[in-house]
Amino acid sequence: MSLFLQQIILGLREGSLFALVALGLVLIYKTAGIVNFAYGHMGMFCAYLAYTVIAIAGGPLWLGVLVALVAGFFIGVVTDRGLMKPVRHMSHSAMLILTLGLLMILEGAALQIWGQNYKPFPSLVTGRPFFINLGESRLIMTRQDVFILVATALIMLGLFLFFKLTKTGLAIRATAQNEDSAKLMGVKVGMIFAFAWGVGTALSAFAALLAAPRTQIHPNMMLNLQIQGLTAGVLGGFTSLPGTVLGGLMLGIIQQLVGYYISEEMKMAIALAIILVLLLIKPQGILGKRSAERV
Amino acid sequence: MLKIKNLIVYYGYVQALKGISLNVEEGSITSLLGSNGAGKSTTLKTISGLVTAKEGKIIFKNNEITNADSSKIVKMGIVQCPEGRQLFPDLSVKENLLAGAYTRADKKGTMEDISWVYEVFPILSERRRQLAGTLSGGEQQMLAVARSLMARPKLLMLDEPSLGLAPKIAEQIFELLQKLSDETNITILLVEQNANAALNISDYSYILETGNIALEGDSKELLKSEQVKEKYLGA
Repeated sequence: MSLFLQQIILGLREGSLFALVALGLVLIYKTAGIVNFAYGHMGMFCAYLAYTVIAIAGGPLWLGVLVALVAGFFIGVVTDRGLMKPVRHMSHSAMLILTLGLLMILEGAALQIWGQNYKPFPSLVTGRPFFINLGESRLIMTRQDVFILVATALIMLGLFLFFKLTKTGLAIRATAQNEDSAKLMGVKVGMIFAFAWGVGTALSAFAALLAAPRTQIHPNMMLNLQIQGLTAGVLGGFTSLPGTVLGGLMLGIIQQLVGYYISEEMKMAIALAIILVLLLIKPQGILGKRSAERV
Repeated sequence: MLKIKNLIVYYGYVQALKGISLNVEEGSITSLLGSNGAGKSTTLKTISGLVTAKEGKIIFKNNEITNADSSKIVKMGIVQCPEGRQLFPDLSVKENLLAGAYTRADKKGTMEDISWVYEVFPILSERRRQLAGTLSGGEQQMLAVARSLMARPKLLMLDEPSLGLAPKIAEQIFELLQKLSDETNITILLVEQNANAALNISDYSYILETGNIALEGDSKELLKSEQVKEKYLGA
């Protein structure tokens, strides 16, 4: 029993990072209606910027984090204004392909600028780890692990309240549902898209910084997280924020359990198969709602 | 109040408006009639800034607003209630109303207007927490009108408010527009395919045909005209 519990907690640890990645993906999808394939790589690029500030320029850690988050916001805004806006009304696949192109550009650029060696990156939060006694076994959670779990929960709560309670949040939801109508209400929809891209990409940067101590910084550091974030989002319904977080945590736990009880090598494949079955049973995701729109 | 001079609009290579000019007097109901594809909706969309004019001028209260940003146009007091309602289906009735008040900064006034709108449309008050997409057609149309009122328009432009509604409900909508015009200082520009109803409640009318104004005049006189009767009223 205690071993099982241990796996659950380890799964939560993994899953909270999936959830964080998924939150930004879902934010951009909810607003601009596009699944951003370059999402993880945009965060990776920001992590390199933080690395440059800290390890190359010798700056303090907080400055590196700040630079990465601000750069994430601007990269998001520029991507929206420069790449997405011109093709937004042409076709959906044009936008998708542009994000794929961006993914390759960012990967190539990172390789050119910083080389192919793995770069170490420190934990944002350090200190004595937490020990959890579970009967005969002991579980170690680093402060960073706990921080990721708490930060993900707070970010989800913050976004949720922002959407529900603020005027800009309402405008984002309105724009997502009917762009022309939002314009007729006086919403500057261009600003809304840019804002969502900015915040979403800053979230990717944050996730990359949190993942970096374990993955180290390299051009493909976010590749797995991007896939897992996407899966977590789909599992959660891709529009509901609590669903997204729940999806991330569930994915983490499923992978952990499969890895422990069935096969470590097959854990991702089996976890994805389980999710496929889950989605066959409940296509709108665990907390996804069917749209109320009538035809 | 609103003057349009020689407005020309293209969709790609297709000329949708071929140089129309019209006038909307302050405090009046002006209707814009014509069949499908005549350019009625295009005219409204161009005024609202959703569609770009190639040539011509749109002047509102002595300010030129041709091809201005749609948010600026709303702030000046021109609000369009679009064809087919175009509500935000997954927002509640109340949230739709709040979205309508997006450009307004006065929270107190917005809340007062919501109460006023609930008085005008009691059914919306009953359904305030319901998602807009779950309302019936007539209720949705009422919500669409109510939503545009939330911006406190000086000029309210309605695109086919009776479309797809049962005759009785459509009649209610027209009565409401008449009442709005009588009891508030809102000027109304009404686009309709139901020429009979529109001519009955409006002061002045324009009839569009394939991007041109084919006929214009006092609505009461147009109602009597043989030409109009034969062509547009199906008599």
